[in-house]
Amino acid sequence: MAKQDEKTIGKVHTGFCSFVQDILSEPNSEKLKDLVLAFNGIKDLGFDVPTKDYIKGAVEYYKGNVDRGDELTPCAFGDS
Amino acid sequence: MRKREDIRIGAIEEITVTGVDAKITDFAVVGNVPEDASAYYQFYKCKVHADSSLDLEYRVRISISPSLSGAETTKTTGKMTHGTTKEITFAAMPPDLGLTSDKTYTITAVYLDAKDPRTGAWVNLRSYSRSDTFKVEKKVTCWEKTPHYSNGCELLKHYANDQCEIGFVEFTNAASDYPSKITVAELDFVAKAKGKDINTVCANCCTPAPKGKICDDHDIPDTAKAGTSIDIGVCVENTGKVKADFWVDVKISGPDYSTTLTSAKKSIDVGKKDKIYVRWDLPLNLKSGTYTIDATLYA
Repeated sequence: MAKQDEKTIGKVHTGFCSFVQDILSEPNSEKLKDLVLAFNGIKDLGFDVPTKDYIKGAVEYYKGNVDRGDELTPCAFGDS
Repeated sequence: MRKREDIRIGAIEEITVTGVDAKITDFAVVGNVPEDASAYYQFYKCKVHADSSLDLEYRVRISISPSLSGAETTKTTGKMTHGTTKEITFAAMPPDLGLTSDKTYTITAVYLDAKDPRTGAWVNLRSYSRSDTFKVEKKVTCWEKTPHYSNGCELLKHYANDQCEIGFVEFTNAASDYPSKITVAELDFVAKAKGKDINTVCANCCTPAPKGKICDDHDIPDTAKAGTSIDIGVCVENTGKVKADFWVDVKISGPDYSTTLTSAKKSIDVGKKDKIYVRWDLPLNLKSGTYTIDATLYA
């Protein structure tokens, strides 16, 4: 057995990150509204929105501040 | 008529003539040369000391016994400034002499000539009787024993890279082993394989190691849902010279989670790209986040 190569080959976004991923390319305030409803337990999006930082982060993505959004959420869109 | 006696009628002036004092020193054998050589190899050197007052062009000639085809026997210095010194070297690129063992040659004489600037003719100044010996080494072949290896193939394999090639680096390694670890005939055999696959020099001598790399055309979904399964395809290219089995370890890491998945082996032809898949079963309780996928390729 001989190691030939090693590299990072990609990323997979799950739950909240999967949901907000397209906000970056298609800003959509409806998604922000849904996140607020999910945070307040009014709507089930199929994943948890455990803190307000998730919503603040989604807003940053909405505004185009990817790095700031990544700081507030478990997502990593900035270096992908 | 009676012959008159010789009578000195008076000297006009006495002229003192000083000989040209150019000379040769530091005769030395540099090394042996290989039979059927691929290049010129130095075998002899000496130093020419120019005349102390005249700027002249010099020529050094050597006599070799027995005569050696492909050997330099005459070297000129170009015009030398008076009082200077120049080292002269002689090289040889002998042809295939059909040797069955190393053969000794002797430099029996060295001659120093100077060019007469008025006539352009070479004039011999000095002759040195010598008895300096060197050898023409029997050529190395693929399947016969060499001085340091069981055969020429083993010699080439020692210096070749894992793809059975002798490149610049590999040849430099061989050159740095001369003369302490290999002979000039062995070095010349490596030189003949430089820039080549050694199998082109010695057929069926070497098997290249599998070689591959992770290419860029992966098959990875952007998103995934906890509790489901996804297939992750890693792009692998066979960059080696032989068909080989490859497999990958895929490490997935994200928020409070890390796992490594190992694929099955997959055979990929030379120069081809293919995808090697692993299946990731996302736990039901997997957290929201971005999961980084790192791949390690093995062969």
